[in-house]
This record gives sequence, structure tokens and C-alpha cells, in this order.
Amino acid sequence: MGALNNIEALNQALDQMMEKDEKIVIYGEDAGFEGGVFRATKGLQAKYGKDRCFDSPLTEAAIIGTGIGMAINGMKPVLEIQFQGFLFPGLNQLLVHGARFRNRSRGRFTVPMVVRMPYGGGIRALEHHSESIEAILAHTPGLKVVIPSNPYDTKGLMISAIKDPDPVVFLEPKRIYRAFKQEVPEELYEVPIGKARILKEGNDITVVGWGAMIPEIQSAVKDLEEEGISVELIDLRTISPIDKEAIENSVKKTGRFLVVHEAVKSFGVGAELISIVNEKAFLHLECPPTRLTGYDITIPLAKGEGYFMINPEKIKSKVKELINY
Amino acid sequence: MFEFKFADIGEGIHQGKVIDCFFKIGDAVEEGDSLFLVETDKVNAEIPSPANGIITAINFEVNDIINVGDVVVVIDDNNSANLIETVIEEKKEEAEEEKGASVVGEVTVSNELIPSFSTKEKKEKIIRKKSLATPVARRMAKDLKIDINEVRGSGLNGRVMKDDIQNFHNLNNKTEEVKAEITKSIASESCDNIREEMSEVRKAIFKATSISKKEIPHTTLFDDIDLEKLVKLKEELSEETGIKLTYMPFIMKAVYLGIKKYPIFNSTIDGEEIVYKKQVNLGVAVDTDYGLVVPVLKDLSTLSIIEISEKLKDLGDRAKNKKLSMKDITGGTFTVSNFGKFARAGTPIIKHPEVAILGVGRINKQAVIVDSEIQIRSILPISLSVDHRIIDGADGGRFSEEIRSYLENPKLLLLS
Repeated sequence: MGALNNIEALNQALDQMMEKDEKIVIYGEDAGFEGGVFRATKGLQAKYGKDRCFDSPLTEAAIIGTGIGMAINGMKPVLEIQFQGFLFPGLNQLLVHGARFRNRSRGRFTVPMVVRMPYGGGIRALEHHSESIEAILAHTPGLKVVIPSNPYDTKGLMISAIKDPDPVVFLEPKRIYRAFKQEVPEELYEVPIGKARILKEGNDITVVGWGAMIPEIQSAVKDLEEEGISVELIDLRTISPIDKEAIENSVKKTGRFLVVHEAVKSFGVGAELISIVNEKAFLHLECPPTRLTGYDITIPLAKGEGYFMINPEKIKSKVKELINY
Repeated sequence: MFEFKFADIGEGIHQGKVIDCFFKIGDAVEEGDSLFLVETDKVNAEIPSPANGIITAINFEVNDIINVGDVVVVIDDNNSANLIETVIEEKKEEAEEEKGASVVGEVTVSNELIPSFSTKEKKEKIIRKKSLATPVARRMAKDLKIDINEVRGSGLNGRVMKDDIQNFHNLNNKTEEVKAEITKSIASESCDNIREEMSEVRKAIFKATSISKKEIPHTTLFDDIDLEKLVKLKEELSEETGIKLTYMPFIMKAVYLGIKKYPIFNSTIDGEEIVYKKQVNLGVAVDTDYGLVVPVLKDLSTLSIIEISEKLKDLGDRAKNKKLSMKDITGGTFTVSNFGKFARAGTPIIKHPEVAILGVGRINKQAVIVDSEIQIRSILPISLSVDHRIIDGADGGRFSEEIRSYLENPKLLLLS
């Protein structure tokens, strides 16, 4: 077992799966020779050759379109979209074709494809490199949407995503690509898609987050615990399908619910989770289920990004507001 | 040094009264030796030493009340580690710094090591007990400064509704007025009153019955059972076996068979779920000099009438002599209460968290109509209290009928 950061864990998962399964191919802009702009696919072309790991042209629609074709014909494409903001030209392929094949062919074809991409803010980049569009993807039936928050889950979820028979969008919070390390088992293991993880048990309030929000929440929780507030922290890990049971059980125990995400507020995953809480645990609530999110604006450039992003102070303040409701 | 904290020795015990101590400071003890005798709710329990060593402190005197969590005894077990806080430094792995590669932005690079996970997923489901309530009821409770967890809900699954809060508020305000008046009148005439602190057993009964009546909406069904055949059978069996039998073993066997047919009577409520207990353990309320105790007869599935009789006698004797252990009085799943010679019938209070209790009264000779003729028969009055949240009157009736079918045809009991 070695201590790896998120990008290393991802690289290890891709490497080990390519070694195991010859049908896996990896491609995307700069994904081959350069190993991706964040080096997620570093060394894979050298090890497995240009036929299995290669650079694609600057054409997201073709990356995803060809991936779908390969997948329904028996290959296992793992595609890289350089930044999530570049996904939009490929959305037609992904949402209109990739996500629907199983349904429209009445189960005859499935699309065992992974589309991975860095997403989220906090690195002082441009807006198309920084936004969070998990809600757009999760709103589409037929797509699975996964977001890891730590190296252990990154490796385990990627392995599960590759093995999954349906298209999985693997969103990588780039802000924490290299922000910390964690002991990660050497062997292949799976973290199940659709299962949240209770990172810390508590009694007073349930706080749910994912991706780069988790370290921010953990930092807030540490301070809140010192003030005597017992927080149950859940890392959602999979945005679609959502682990409703984990949310329901936790809120029934704590009576309070806060969802934290960096994506804009309206029509987001936070609203979906609050609906689940209202449907499943309404009578247990001691305060309104609440979301702490980014603002309803295009994510600001470097200078203003700090105002937009969620930080531990914002989380602490919101938790206290709900505890004292 | 080993700081021995008084632990909960049974189900939810918070305190006990020390009635004897077997060691003094400086004595050597071995793990398992009895250190002191404590009177808890319903039993006297000898508390064993958890460690080998020399007693260096005893933090109580005989007749003191000790609470769960108190350090009662300190034992020098030759291990200083218990006193020294072990400081484990977090091991940070040194690793080569890597540059955060990207064409845009600034990716944070750090070698900080975060805790790893176990590959095993946790399966436990913890549901904390809090009131179910509509938000509007919560708001009302807040405005009226009422702890909503104290209000019994009348809604579906015990949901607290607006009216419940209003009723609770009205009732409490009235109680306060009444209390004030009563206090006043007692105070003015109190010179000759005698005050006596309740015994531990009485306090336990006080608490248990209060919880039961507060939490469980009781409904009680009354019925009479013709015991004519059982009276004869009991006499014959007593004569043939030479064992003096009472009616109780027959009643318990009948209850057991009733539960087998209607297992909801052997359940508990957990949140919005009903938990059916596999084993049938019948508690039997026993009147003693020191109060009512309920020893439990465990697992009736394999016991014959004679065996039930023997076990009942043993439990009864030990109850009267204060020799019951914690094991003897815990784990009950249904209780049979015997009003015996004192009353014809009553409204038994369910032993929380059970969901029903059967009260059996005094057997009387009564004139009853059998096949259009008046006959003198031995009649047993029964009263069955049920938790109306999960058991309806009709369910109770069916259960009573099942018990009746066995007691009125007691040979079936011997065959079952």
C-alpha cells in the first residue's frame, strides 16, 4: 500500500485496468504523448502503445461519438475531455446518443464507456475551466455521474466505472488532484457506484458534500465539533444514482440537513437532495433542509473566485444557523 | 492504575445503592473476585473486579448511591499506562514533491496524508429516537416552550400534531394550577405528615410504569374463561405426579401457544418498524415483601407443563429471597400478571418496551348458562392490555380466544 494523491490513484487505476483488459482504449486531447494536461494518463502510451492510448484531434463531439461506437461494438473506451467546460460540443453525442442506447435498443446495446474530465473551481483558471455542471449531466436518464473526493475512492470508483456496462461520467475535482495523499491499496478494488460514504458519524446535523467540498467541510466540522456540535458528514461520491437511503437514514437520526456544493444554486443537485429529504424524512426535520452553494452567476475569474467558492467559514456559519433555528 | 467505573450492569440502569463491600484499601484482588454488592432496580448484584491488583481507593461507603460512570474503586494493577496519555504522532510520509501539471490555473500540490479507509463498508443503521412531528407542530412547541419529545402524538405512527401540542400545553397549565393549590393545602396542614423516601424497587416501578403509561396508548380487553375442565385436570395431574401444580403453568403454556399463532404479541416497536422476537420469554409478575418484581421464564418452546411449574417455583422462591440475578429479570418478551386472590380483574400496565400484558384474576365459582342451563362453573377473569399503536382490539380478541381455546380444552395443552 502506498500513499498516493488523487491523480496518482487515477493513473494507477487506469494502468492496472489496461493491463488486465485489452479492450480498454484511452484517448483525448493530449491524453497520449503528454499524458493529459494534469498527467492523469502519464506513461500509459509508452507502456501500452499508440493503439491503446493516443491523442485525439480538438473535437469533443468526435471523441464521444467514436467512443460510443467503440463501446457498442465491444471495446472499453475511457475518454478524456481536457476540461469539463469543453464538454459542451460533445454533449449532443453524450446525452442524445450515449445515454439512450440501452433504452432505445430495448437493452440490445449498452455503452460501457467512461468519460472523465477535470471540473470545478478553486485553481484561479478561466470560467470554462472552473464551472461545475454535474446537475446537467445527472439530469439525463441513462448516465451515471461519479465524483470522488479522495485517492482511495478515485481508484475504486474508476475501476467500478470501467467495469460498469453503462456510460459513466467521471468528474475529477482538479483543485484536489494533488492537494493531499492517502494510503491506497496496491491491488484492484472497487468502490461501488451509487453508494455514499459516511465519513463521520454525528447526531446534530447531516452535512452532505462531494468532490473538492469534502476537505472544506471536514475543516469546518473539526471546529464545529470543538464547539460541541456533532456533525454527520456524508460524501455522496455518486451524483446519479443518488444514495437516497444513506441520506434518509442520516436525516432521520439528526433531524437537520445541509448540502454543500460549489455549483450554482438554482436547479442543482442540492435542490434534488432537499427534495429527497422532504419526501423521506419530513416529519423528522427540526429546521428547513438547506443548501450552501455557489451563486447563480458564471464562475468569476481569478480575482473574484474566492468570493464565489465555499470555504469552512461559510459552512460553519450555515451549520450554526440551522442548529439554532 | 485501573480506575474501575461503575457500568450499566443491566438494561438501562443508571444507579445503584451499595449494600455491602467485601474489600478494604490495601487488599489484593483478582479479576472476577466480588468487590461489592449493589442494590439496583430489582436485584442485588455482586460486582466483580475487572483486574488483578491491590485496591488503592474505594470511593463510596455502604448505603451510598453510585451512578453509572462513577470511578468506584481504584486498583493498582502495576500498569502505569492507564494514567499516561499515549500520544501517537501522525506519521507523515515523506514523498517527492510533484509539480501540479496544467496549462491553466494553479493546482495546489501537497504531500499532506489524509486518513485511509477500510474496504469494509459500514452496515449499521442508527436511528435516534426523536419525535415525529409536522413542522407546524414544531413551531407551536417552540413558541409555547414545550419539549416536543415529551408530547405523545396522536397522529399516524405517533406523529405529534398541532392539537397534541395545544392539549399538552393546556393540560400542563392546569396541572400547574392544581399543583399549586395542593401544595398550598398540604403545606398548611403538614405538621403531622410522615415522609419516607421510596425504596430502590419502588423508584424503579415508579419510573417504569410512568414511561409505559406515557408512551404506550393502552387498551384493555376483559373476558371470562371457563376453567371447569382445567380444575379437574390439574387435580388429577397433581395427584398422579405428586407435584402440587398451580394454574399458572397452564396459563403460561396457553399464552405461549397464543403467541406462536399471533407473533405480534411477542414484538417491540423500533421507530416505525415492528421487531418480532424469535424466542418467547414470559415474565411473571411476583408480589414480594419489597415490591413487585418480574422474573422471566426463558424460551418456552421446549418446556412441558411440569417443567414450567418447576422453573416458576424456583424463580418465585428466589424472588422472595432477593436472590434473582440480572439475567433472571431481563430479556422478557411478554408478561403475565397475576392479581391472584386480591382482585377479580384489573387493567395491567404493559412492561415497556413489550406490547402486551395478560392479567389473570381470582378464579370464582359462578353461575353460568351452558346449553340453556344454569350451571356452576370455575371462571377465570382475564384482562389483556395491548399497545394500541400496533395491536387493535380485534387482534386482542383473537389472541384471547386462542388462549381460551386451550384453557377450556386443557388436554390440548398437554399435547402441544
